[in-house]
Amino acid sequence: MSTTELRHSIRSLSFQDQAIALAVPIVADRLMRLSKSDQDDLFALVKELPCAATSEDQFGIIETIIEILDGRAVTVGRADLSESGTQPDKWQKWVEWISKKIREARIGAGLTQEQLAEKTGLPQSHISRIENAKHSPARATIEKIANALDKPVTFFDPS
Amino acid sequence: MVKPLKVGFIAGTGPHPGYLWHVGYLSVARDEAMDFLSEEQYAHAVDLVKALASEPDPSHPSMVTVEAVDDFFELKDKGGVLGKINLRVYFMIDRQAKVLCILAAIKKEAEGQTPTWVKIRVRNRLRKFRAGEFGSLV
Repeated sequence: MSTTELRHSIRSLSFQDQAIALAVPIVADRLMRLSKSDQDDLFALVKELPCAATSEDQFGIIETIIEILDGRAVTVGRADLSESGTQPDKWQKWVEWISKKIREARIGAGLTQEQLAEKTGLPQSHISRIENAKHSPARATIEKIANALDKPVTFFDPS
Repeated sequence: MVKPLKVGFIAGTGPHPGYLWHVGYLSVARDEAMDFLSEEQYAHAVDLVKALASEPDPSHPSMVTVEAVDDFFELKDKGGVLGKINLRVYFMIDRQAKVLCILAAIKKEAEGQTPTWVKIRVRNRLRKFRAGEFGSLV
């Protein structure tokens, strides 16, 4: 087909079909430039698309396809683990609330931080940081503390 | 054979005081976490990573829940400031360089196995990270 014929054929298409006709060679070109591993990942994702159980999964698959095709710039950074900076209000309120609950329950059970650490298998320094409202504990930590103090998890985390 | 990672730190610089591991993250993982987490939820996620970085063995931690998935790991958390969000943070461990690197973060509607697309996404990023395509932590 000559260029003139091709141009004429494209013009005769609807806008949507023109967009698809334009997109296909672009996508095909990108596909050919990908590494074999990226191509394999991409084809595996395309196979997954009809099996997506939720819209969340569908969206995740499409996002990953775009990420691989697009080759967007990703950088690696080093996390700052220092304690500097103000924490958000809701975080502060939550850690103050749970720190108080844990301290009161531990004292109520007649345990020291060291004894609670031994019963839970958690480091004493971790318990101290939580009780001093310096750290927002993970669910795993809350569950261990709740078990050790013979309280339901909901006592410490009503959410 | 797995290629050596290009994540080494300058000789003599240890992890941040109080921590046993250096922590790196992919910009794309930070962006996706910031996309679905509120400010306080993000601060909580940072605390989870800090707890992980103070564990002697982050693949078997006492303070957070971690499961092995393929050749990376999944940190799971819920409740508290996370509310109804089932948070999943994916990371790799380089024991030689004492580095944890956060590769992805997603929220799940339901508990259960790691979806295949998540495994593909993380595996793809891990491969590129190992190849040094995202730069290095040095």
